[in-house]
Amino acid sequence: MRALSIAATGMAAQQTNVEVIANNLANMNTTGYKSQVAEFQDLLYQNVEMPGAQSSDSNTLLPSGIQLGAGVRTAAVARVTTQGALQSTSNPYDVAIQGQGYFRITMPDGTFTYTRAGNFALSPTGQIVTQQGYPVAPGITVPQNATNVQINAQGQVLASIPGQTAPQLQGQLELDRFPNEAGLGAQGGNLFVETASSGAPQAGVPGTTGYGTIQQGYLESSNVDPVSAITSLITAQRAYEMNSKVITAANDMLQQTANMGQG
Amino acid sequence: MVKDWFPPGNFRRAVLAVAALKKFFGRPLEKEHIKNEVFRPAWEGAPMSVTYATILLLRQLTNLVVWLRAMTGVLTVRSRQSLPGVAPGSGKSQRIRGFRAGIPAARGLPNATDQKGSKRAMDTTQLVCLSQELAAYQSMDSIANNLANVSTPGFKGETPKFQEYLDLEKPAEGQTGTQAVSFVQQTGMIRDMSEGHVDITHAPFDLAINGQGYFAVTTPNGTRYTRDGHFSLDASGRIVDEAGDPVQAGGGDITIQQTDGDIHIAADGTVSGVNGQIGQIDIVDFANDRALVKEGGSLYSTTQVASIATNATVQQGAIESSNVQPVVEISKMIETMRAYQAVINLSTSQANAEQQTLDKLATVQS
Repeated sequence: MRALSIAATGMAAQQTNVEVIANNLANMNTTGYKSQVAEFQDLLYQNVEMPGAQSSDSNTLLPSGIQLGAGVRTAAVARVTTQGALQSTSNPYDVAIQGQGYFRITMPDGTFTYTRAGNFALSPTGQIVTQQGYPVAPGITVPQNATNVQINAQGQVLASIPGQTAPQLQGQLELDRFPNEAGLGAQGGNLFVETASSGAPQAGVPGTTGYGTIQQGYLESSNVDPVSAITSLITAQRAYEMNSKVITAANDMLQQTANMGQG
Repeated sequence: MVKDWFPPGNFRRAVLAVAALKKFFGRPLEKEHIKNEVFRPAWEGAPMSVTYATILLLRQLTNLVVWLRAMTGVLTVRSRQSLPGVAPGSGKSQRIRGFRAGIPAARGLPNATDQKGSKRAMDTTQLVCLSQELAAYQSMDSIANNLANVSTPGFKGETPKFQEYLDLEKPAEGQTGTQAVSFVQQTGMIRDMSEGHVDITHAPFDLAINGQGYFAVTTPNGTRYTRDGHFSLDASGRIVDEAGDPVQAGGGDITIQQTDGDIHIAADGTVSGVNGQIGQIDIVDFANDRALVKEGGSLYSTTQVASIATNATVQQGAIESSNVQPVVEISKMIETMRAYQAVINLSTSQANAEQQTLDKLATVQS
């Protein structure tokens, strides 16, 4: 009986759905987290009678054939790359991107990763680094004696140094854009890597066409909407339940079939 | 006559014959024993020679084999019949052939000669039941598929369509007019073309079609059509579907440049950025969109010629969800289960009736 395996694919899909929603809810307060959504597609069909097949010698056609579906599969777990709300922190090294783009981070092995979580800090040598201590590319070092650090909307890092009236430019934060940012590979730790599907990064200056601006003293919060996450959770749980009901019903039918001869 | 045929009578004779032979071979062999009587059975009242006893025994054994075969025939009717509705045929006409012969046992029964016009066996009931059981299984499968795809964007639910199949027979003895037995057979799947509700996702490349229309995507197997508008960009900036197949726009692909900024997709499918119009996504329609063949992966294929849809609009930042209504599917499921239960009960009571008939026949004739 096909209904059993079809309902099993349905249950597996809804389980994936619940897992994705659970991960979203778990990361509700993760800086720069982008919520994910499971996408489903129907499985292959068994063609018993093709629609449009000839139904007689006089060229009459079957208006609708018999195609038996085989269930559902998870096609993708896509990332929703909408902007998260900006949260004020008043920490000078907390920077949020308003608009498109990712910060580029230099990993210990020399490769680059990308992030939207701008909760940076200074290293012992005064370099701007992530919470893991990886330097933000291109490396910017703030002088030890700087009294005030300002990062403007264009990503310029300006430091006020005693004895100098005007703030001194220390470096320029860069942003990277991708043709398909949903295709970035998640690394954990709020970091993403370039993949064949994301396309090559294109570096640019914040505030120029297509690139977002920098907001100092703010963090981009997670874009998970708890209300919609909870409603999706309820929907997924109901769908799971209904698929399990199909299994129960199919099982009952098979049970009756098995008991037929014993009447 | 009955005694001649039916095993219990025969059996007694066979026992007598065996006893005669046993007695014969148990004694010292003497010449006249071969020709003359060796045993005088009380039941026969006639002397029985060895030759006669041997012939008698062989005849009874033959009769027993015939009887056993007849009884086995009754039990294997169901495995030998052709099932209604499952013979695919050439696709032009799907004949349902019920089981036409009489009870195989009747061939052996002296009084059960083939009656004119009444060729239908009592197994017809079982066959009608079987056709309904198969229909219930098919319904259940389609309900399961609908429910499994309750979260599949752009999915259209399907319901099997059943038709009555009339098996016309000659009238039975003493009756006029043709007699018909109706079986059930599946003749197609009816696709519910209603629109699923629209989920707002705010993703710039999520597109929902309002009205009758399809997106066209270029797959490795040729152009396919879909209502699942969950698109994104690939590494080169083309708008692609979940499988990475480019979405067609004016016969070609549509590529978004980095400098295009935020993308706006208008109701007619026009894609524009900060630098103006980039292209227009094709929204196509067909003369008979029910005949589109589902391919899985939310794609449809067809040999029909696509035309530009006239009454369809595109909504950006939204996805058309599945149009399966869980409440309807669950109630259909319960209905199917109950129908199945009913037909199983019918089938069981019919089987009981057949069993009783056989028991009664056997009792009367022995």
